Amino acid sequence: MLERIIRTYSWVNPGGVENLRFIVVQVGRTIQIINTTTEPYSAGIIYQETLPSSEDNPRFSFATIGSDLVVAIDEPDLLLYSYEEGVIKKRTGRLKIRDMFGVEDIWNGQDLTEGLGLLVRPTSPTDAHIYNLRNQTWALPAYQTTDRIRTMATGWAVGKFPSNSDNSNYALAPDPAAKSKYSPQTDRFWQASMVQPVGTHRAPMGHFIIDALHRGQSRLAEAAYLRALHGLSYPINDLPFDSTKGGARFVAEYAGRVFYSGFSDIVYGPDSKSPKLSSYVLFSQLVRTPDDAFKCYQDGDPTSKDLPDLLDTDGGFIRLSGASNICAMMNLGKSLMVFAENGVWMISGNGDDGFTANNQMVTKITERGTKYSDTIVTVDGTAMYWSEDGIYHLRQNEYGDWGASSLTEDTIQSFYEDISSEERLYCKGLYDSYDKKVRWVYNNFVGAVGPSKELVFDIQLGAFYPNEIGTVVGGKFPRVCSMVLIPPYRVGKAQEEITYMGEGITYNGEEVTYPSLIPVSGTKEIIYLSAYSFDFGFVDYGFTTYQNIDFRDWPEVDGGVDAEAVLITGYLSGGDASRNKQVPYISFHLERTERGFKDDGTGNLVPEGESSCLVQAQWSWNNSPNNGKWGEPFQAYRYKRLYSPYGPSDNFDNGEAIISTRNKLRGIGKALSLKITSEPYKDLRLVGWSISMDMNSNV
Amino acid sequence: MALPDNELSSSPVPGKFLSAGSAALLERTVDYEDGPIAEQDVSMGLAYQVWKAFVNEEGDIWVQPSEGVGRTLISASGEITDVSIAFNQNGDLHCAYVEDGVARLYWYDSSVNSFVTTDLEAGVRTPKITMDEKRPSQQNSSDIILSYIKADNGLYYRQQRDRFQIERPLHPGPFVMIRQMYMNTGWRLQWLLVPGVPIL
Repeated sequence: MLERIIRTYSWVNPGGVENLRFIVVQVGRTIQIINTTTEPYSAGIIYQETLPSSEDNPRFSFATIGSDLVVAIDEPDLLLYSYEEGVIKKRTGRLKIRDMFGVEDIWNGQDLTEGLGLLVRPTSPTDAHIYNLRNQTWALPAYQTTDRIRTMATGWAVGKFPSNSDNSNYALAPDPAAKSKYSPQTDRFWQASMVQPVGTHRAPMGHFIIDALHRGQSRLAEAAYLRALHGLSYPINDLPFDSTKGGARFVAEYAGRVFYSGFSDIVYGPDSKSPKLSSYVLFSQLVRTPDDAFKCYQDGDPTSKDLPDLLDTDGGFIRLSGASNICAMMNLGKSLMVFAENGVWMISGNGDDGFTANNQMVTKITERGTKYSDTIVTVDGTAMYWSEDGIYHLRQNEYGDWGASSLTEDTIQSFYEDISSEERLYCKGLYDSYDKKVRWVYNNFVGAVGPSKELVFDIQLGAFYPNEIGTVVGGKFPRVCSMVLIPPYRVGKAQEEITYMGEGITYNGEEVTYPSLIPVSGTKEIIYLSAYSFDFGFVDYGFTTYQNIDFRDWPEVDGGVDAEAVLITGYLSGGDASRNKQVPYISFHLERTERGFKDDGTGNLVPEGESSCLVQAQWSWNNSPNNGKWGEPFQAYRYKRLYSPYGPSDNFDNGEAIISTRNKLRGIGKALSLKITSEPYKDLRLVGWSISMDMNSNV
Repeated sequence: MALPDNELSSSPVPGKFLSAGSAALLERTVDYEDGPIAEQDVSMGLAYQVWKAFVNEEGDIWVQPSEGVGRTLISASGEITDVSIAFNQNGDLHCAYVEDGVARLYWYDSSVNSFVTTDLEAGVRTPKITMDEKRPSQQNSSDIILSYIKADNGLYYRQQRDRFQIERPLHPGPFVMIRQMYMNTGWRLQWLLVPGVPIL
């Protein structure tokens, strides 16, 4: 079965509307944009598009820059969506860079880009050499010189084509002897100045702004355009194809720019100068207009005599030496973290200054990388992520240095190791800052079998606990697939009254209103995207939350399934594992939950909001009842006195807030573990328990 | 009449599905229908008990009343992917199903006084069948409705009073599938549809 990828992203403040959020859902190759002011959310789809992709299961990457959404789809075209006057508008763009690579340049068997070859001035042109020269200060005409290359090649001074170290800017100077009508202040090209070579360093390059991915075709197009624009000699017809497969797979916003990574190493028609982009991170210019998001180059021409400077606001690219399989980027505080399979790198500004094109620093933080991009969660200025060998917490120490420490090593390591690679690959994590819990859902892909699972890390307790969300149909559906952040405080739709002179306006007896956006509040920050079926290649999904007070998952589907609660304690050995113990009595304290009565349809009154707490003793590290070391479960939630309601409206107020029971715990063993479970469709709020334990004197 | 003027109501009246209609909403090979005490015995009405149809381990369509003995309704030679059942006014069991991608209707043809199986057009998917009105007071206006999605992703229906010979469009869609079609608490025949374009 084709595995349909399902991902979600929260688009904050689209169109610059404060507190407005859109949910972006990717199902397979289709994205849907959902306006959260409409409930149910699934009815709020305002935009849908099936995107081109050569992959069966593409992972699109989303980032918000300003109020726009940038989407990377592993294709040469990047997508930028904006929300204008209630409508989603789409632009496409390609990443543009200055050509800082050039092309392979061989003449008479000698590489003209290396060593002494840099000094060689060929006597005949090749397309590659002419292109390199144009890209290296030989592009533009000078006063009374249409083509500086031609002047060099056919002129009286040199009579050869320039070498790759020749910088034509050195030969540009005014002519103070010229009469004023001949512009004495204007630079001329003095070919005599080029007679002596300058050294074995390459001339500045980067005149051409080319497609970062389809470089060969772009070079030909730019060179042809330049030639037509200035009437230059030496047409360029043949250059290496030099095209990188696909496009950017990951996108992130940082320092007011857009960063792109996750490029392929595969190059079609390469030459020796073709870059392997997999370890590159491209960054745009400071984004002031949407088009800036795609400009990964410096504004000033580095081959220009007058404006070659790199500005702070310029774009460019960074090479992360050694990084393989970059899988995500994330803005953390003043840094951009780049997650790769073999480590985490930090891109930042040097010192206290922020990142700019002129001030950048790359640091490798840890060798504990990840390939599970959706597991990365930002938690109050830190990050947590799933790696091959555990869950790591990336944070600054007391000295401000970044490092990663394992959260699972001393806690749930074996539990974590039992989670399969496939489950980790599709796992999705989010942090609920209101709840102070990090949640990762896994076994959440459409083809999975068995319950969806959730691993919760309680920040305040520093503890993990697992959830299972049962399925109703064939162990497959409904299935929690992803999560998205919807802050409790956001905007919702309301109808506001139109007034005139302080009086409401009515029409045909009805108040006239207009729709407006107002702040609304809620209590949860995370909602789940759940798949209900996968038929005819189509994933039918909806949005769900933990909200059922009858302890049923999916109550709207055939009544749902019981959401059972289970707690198994650690082993209590009283500090001495060699002696047998007995627990004559154990007291449980539970919150009373009954809040009234309802008629069961036969005239009998049954309590509403019933609780139940089943407790089982498990002695001496036994992990099954086969050894007779597991006791019979008993009910620990019991009323000491019967309560008689006066009728259906009785609110069951017996004055007790806590139900405390004293129970005999049968059995004997060297250590005791308790298994505490709820009963189907009943509440259970455990406050605590107390044990009196007797220990034998004999070993 | 289930669908006055052969079209959907101008204003939707959504509600919960009645009785057996609220079960197995996500399962295409399981269907529940309120039905009589036994096949061809409507002495206790058409909503005496819930009947369940499903694909059994042999791959056949099995019908099982909540009280009584079940039986094989359709012996399948191919893979059954959709099942839906209904009873007519005489308690005759009808079934719409898809076998090896071909949608079929098993129904009682009063013109020949026997059960016949009719193949529906190629590309028909998720056929659903139900008796719209099961209340005794509405017997005269009741109808078995067969509804499905066609290859053009539109919603169509046929009805018993036309001997299922006339196909009528209901909504151009696009729909992926019908998840359920049954009477709702507002006494309207209600469709639960999955909107979208399938990837076939």
